[in-house]
Amino acid sequence: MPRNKKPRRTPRWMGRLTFVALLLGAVFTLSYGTGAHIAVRYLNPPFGAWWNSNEFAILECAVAALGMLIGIRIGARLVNDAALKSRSMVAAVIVSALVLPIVGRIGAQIARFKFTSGASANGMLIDRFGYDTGMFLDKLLAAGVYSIKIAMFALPVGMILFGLAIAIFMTSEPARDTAAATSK
Amino acid sequence: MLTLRFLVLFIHIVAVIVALGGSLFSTFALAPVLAAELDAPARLRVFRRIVRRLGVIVLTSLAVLAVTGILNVLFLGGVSILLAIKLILVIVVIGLALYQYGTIGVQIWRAPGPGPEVAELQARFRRVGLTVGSLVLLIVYLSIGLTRGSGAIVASIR
Repeated sequence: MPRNKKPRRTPRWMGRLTFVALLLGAVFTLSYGTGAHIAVRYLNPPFGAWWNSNEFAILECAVAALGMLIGIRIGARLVNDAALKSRSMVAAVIVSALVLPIVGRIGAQIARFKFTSGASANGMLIDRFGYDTGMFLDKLLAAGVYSIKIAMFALPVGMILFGLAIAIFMTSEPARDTAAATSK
Repeated sequence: MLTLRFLVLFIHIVAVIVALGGSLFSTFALAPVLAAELDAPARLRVFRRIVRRLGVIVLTSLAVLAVTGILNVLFLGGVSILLAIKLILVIVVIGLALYQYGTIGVQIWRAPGPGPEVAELQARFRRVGLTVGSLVLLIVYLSIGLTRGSGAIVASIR
């Protein structure tokens, strides 16, 4: 008996884009946190130099893109109409791509602000794992938190870009059935 | 007096007024009058137009709010727990507004004619609108706490 397949809630291209952003974000966050450019330099010095000078910018853009894409996907889940959702997703992704450098830069600036509660994991990690491992883990943790903060600030931007697209497409839809409703 | 920070804050506050004022007006003034004065088909017709216009106004003002809010964080120069809570609430508000206009609003817009289902949708639209309004008020309260209260972010940084 054939299985009843549910229609996809998220288009395949959107899933692929999110996967690419997630992969790039994870790779470059780990690379920045662990100083992996040294390994790349060892294998291929010019590429390692390029990697080192660009990894931070790629990290910012990848995690900002990831945040915006998640925002758009959350927004899309809250809209029922398939055609409106699809059009709005495409429009929101295009605008997101255009504003990505700005969102990445502003998100990175905000992510540099520390939480004013003054909590610090540095001492705890050194206490538990020793100085060398503790410092290594602290840098890795800082890179991870930095990436999460950028993505968190990009998420509402993605959601609101999707909302704006919904608003625009709602207005452009012709008022075909209002007259019919009143004439009944 | 006229600095970029003031301008951004002014636009931010105006966006709150527009988003909240529009929702409150439609819920507490317009909807009861429509229910009392118009018959069902005419009420639906007017309500549909309001849903669309208000959707554009509210979603646009929420976009302005989000952008100016992020710029305000840059000007404040710090992130506190209160601000993190506010950010989460903003995400919830945007989500609810999307559900209100993107799902319920579109269903009302495309309904073939008046009926019990449409009346239920209209009631749900108002309930979600009220929730959005209440959350925006809570966000305003948290904003005052961020800039003026004992846990003011600027004071805690210095």
